Amino acid sequence: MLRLHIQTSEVLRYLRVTGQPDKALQARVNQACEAVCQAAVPRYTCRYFPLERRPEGLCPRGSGLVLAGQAIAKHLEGCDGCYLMAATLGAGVDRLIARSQASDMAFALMLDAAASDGIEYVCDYAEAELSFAERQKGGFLTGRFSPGYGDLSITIQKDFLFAVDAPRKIGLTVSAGGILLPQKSVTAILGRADRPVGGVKKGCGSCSLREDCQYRKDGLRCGR
Amino acid sequence: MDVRTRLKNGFLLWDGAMGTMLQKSGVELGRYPETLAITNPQAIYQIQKQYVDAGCDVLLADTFGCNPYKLEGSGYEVEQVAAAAIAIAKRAAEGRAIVALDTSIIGELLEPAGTLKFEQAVEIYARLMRAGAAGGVDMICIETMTDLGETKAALLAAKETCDLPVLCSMTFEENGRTFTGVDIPSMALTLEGLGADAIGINCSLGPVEIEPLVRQLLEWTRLPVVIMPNAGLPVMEGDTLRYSITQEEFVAQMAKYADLGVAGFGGCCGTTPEYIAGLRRMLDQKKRVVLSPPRRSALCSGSHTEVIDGAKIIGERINPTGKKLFKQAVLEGNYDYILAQGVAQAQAGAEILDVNLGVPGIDEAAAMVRAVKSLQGILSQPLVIDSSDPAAIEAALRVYNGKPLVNSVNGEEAVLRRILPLVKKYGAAVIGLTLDEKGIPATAEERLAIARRILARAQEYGIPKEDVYIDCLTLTVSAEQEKAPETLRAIRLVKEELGLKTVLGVSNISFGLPQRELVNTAFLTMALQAGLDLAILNPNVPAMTGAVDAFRVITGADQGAAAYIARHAGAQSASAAAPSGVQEISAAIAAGLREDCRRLTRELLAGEDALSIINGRLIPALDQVGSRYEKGEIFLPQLIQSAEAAKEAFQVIKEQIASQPGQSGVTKGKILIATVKGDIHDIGKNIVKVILENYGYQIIDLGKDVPVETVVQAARDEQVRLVGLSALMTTTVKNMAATIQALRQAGLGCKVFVGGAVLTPEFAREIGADFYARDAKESVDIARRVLDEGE
Repeated sequence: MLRLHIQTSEVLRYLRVTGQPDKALQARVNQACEAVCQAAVPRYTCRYFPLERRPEGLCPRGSGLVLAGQAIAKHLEGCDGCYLMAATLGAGVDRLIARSQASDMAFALMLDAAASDGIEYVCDYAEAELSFAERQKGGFLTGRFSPGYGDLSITIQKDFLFAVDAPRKIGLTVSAGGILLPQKSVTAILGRADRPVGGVKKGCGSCSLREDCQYRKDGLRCGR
Repeated sequence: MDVRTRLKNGFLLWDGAMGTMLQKSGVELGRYPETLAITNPQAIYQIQKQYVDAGCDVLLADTFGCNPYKLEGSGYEVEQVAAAAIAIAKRAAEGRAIVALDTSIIGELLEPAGTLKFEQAVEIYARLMRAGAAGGVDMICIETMTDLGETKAALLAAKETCDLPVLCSMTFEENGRTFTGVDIPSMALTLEGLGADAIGINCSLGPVEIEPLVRQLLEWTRLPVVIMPNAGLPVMEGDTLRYSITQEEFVAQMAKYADLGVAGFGGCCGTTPEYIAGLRRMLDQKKRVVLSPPRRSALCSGSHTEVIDGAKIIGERINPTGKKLFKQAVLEGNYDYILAQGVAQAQAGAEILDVNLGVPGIDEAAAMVRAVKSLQGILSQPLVIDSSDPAAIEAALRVYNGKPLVNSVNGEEAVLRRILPLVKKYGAAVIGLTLDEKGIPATAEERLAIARRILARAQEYGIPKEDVYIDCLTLTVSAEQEKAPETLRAIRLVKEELGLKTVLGVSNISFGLPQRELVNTAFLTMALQAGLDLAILNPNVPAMTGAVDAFRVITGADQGAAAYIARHAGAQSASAAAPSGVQEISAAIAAGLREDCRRLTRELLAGEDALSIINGRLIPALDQVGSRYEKGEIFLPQLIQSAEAAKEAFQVIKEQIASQPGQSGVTKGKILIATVKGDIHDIGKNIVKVILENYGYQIIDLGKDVPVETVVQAARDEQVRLVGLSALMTTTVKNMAATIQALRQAGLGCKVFVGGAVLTPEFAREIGADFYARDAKESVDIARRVLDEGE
């Protein structure tokens, strides 16, 4: 089973802690990271689809999905195919966080932050695996782009999950309101091409909350 | 010969994979593979005919994903798809095989992890099963399940809509658990109790990897076991997925299982008609082995089984008797107290938790359901459903995930007749109190007689002996001293003459005496020596759990005293830590020291009144912490820690007030909060709650995924002046707008503040909110402006 690596510096960033944390806080954050690593059963699944360009948007062939909007079009510029990826830390982490809320809210917040970094790690790992495999075949990948970024509607989650058979393969579902469950989960699209492709770079430039983002106002970032 | 009989005495051979066979034949599964029964019936028929020709006894109709959630947007209804699929299967079977309705996961998570309600899940399955019965299927197969609660919903739906035999099969990973943490013992105990006709394991693993799980399942159930592995593990070869094991290897491994006692065989992903033909040839050479695994007394949750094979602790603290604050919390709909108690007792060593919500004036069934759902969402300890209200027992049994213990029945005929059928239907275990309409008998022999009668009645209802636990009743030794030895004798008699497990609440013994702990621990130890299996006690009292730990050492249950040493060696636990020397409450709050806050508040209350402590010391201390937070000197975790420490101070004050009649509360006003419909993110809301509570406001927390009407109703009933709403998704924020609109339309005159990552001040204004709370601290400022300053 994939062993998680959680960066405490990232966890502190999620907690909006600036400067050097005091020893007590650092110790608790370390405990939270360890607890998440113990409770997590990380899983991911990826599936390749050739891309069809249609008037309504980009369609991963055979998935039934339509990726509409300017942002994803820019991300997949120059790509002939894409990987749909789904990853989760599992239901045990959700239960751990919920349980902690009943007795120690501050620790629950730290667990939540640690788990957020944990799922990013799983995605990075899966992406690296895909990227390596593609490079062996002379292919290149963009970075990850998730439903909900820019103008790519989050309402495609359900079809996305069925396209990769996520409920059956990794136990990942989506609620009627569009929330991925278990909560510490990510779905992402990576474009594939025969030459290096940038995709939409991660960053504030492409985010729809850039004008109001508190992280930004504080000089921080929300993601890695 | 009917299916049930065939499974009991012989073998039954299922078909193989459909999905991988379709892909092999070049058929695109697409977004709605279920609808192939209508759009490409020939493809399905061809494959099914091959399985029938290969010699399978059971053909699964292609209804695997046939549910409203999966079919949404397809243009077809469940009934249409089911009818078509069943017709194809019947045509292919030509009477040579029986046709089974096939179903699996809905695709949405059940509450509390998700938003799908248990009863909604039951109805989704019931709809398909009605269609199945109408189509004339001979059996129902619930397979590839990962969540025990969802499996229960499907099984109940089957049993409540028809009389067909039901197979329940779950899918496990190599670590022996499903995605949601279900293990083999919990699956077996629960599903056998609920009346499945066969139980099994399918998918995810190949026949070799599945072996330890097969062996374990054969150990844990008396039901026929059905095994349908994948054709090994999936391997990417270039761009195609292949399965790693050959037909010969598959059949050879399955032959082992036939010798071990497995009754049903089939193949999942990657298998083909050749695999089934191979299984047919193999089975035709074999003789069915019927096992008799040991009968066990055990309880379980959705992820953990507690075998009652020695002294176990049932935590008694979730019970309103004598607890004014508990009653108040339940009346206010505040279940945080219950959850905190559950977590604390589990941490203190309770293996099982008793849940009693018997507060006069409430809808006990609704309260019990809410408590059970919340507790089982976060804890893995099995629960005891403790109530004298049959409606509450039934409601709780229905939603309980696992095999619970019902507390209780007694010797009264009417009670036995009312409760035992529920215990049987939901596969629970039951406690029988040795009293009846004549009261509590004086002698051990008379109590034994009642126990004998309870056992006989339970067995008449089909409840096995290992699921009957006898409570010989503890009377107060200061009032009826001669009765104490009778209880102990009764325990011994029940164990020797009836061979039943026993349970006892020990705390009652010392009522009215000083130093109750001394009497309780002595009585507990004596009862354990007499053969007590389940001790109902307060695990938060170290002496009580200590007595059980010591007993386990002396009887050898704790080999090498390993557990005892682990728990008791070295320094005291954190809660009884040496005093930190902090003398000032503002320092204790600043440092987040909970125990010190309790201690110091108690000291302060000796000389000062509650309101002056709150307004003169606690609030200013919190304000100081808040201001340091705003300046960036400390951060959210420390803010929360300080708030939780202050909460302890408030708790002490509340306890003091509760014990003094006529005192009014110290609340500065009520605030209603909720995470809106469709949204289940609640950590932000819960942080706001903790912080606001510690500034003296009474928070009414409606929870998450709260319908618009519920918010309006609660705002009206509670006459709140301030409502806080949280939403985190662009998809759910529209429900926030709808909730605000409904509040305005109801003319309640309350102010609304909103928060959540997806919100901005502009958007908050757009949807009609009065305030936008950037973070938890800002919610305090808003509360002040509205409730203290009357904005």
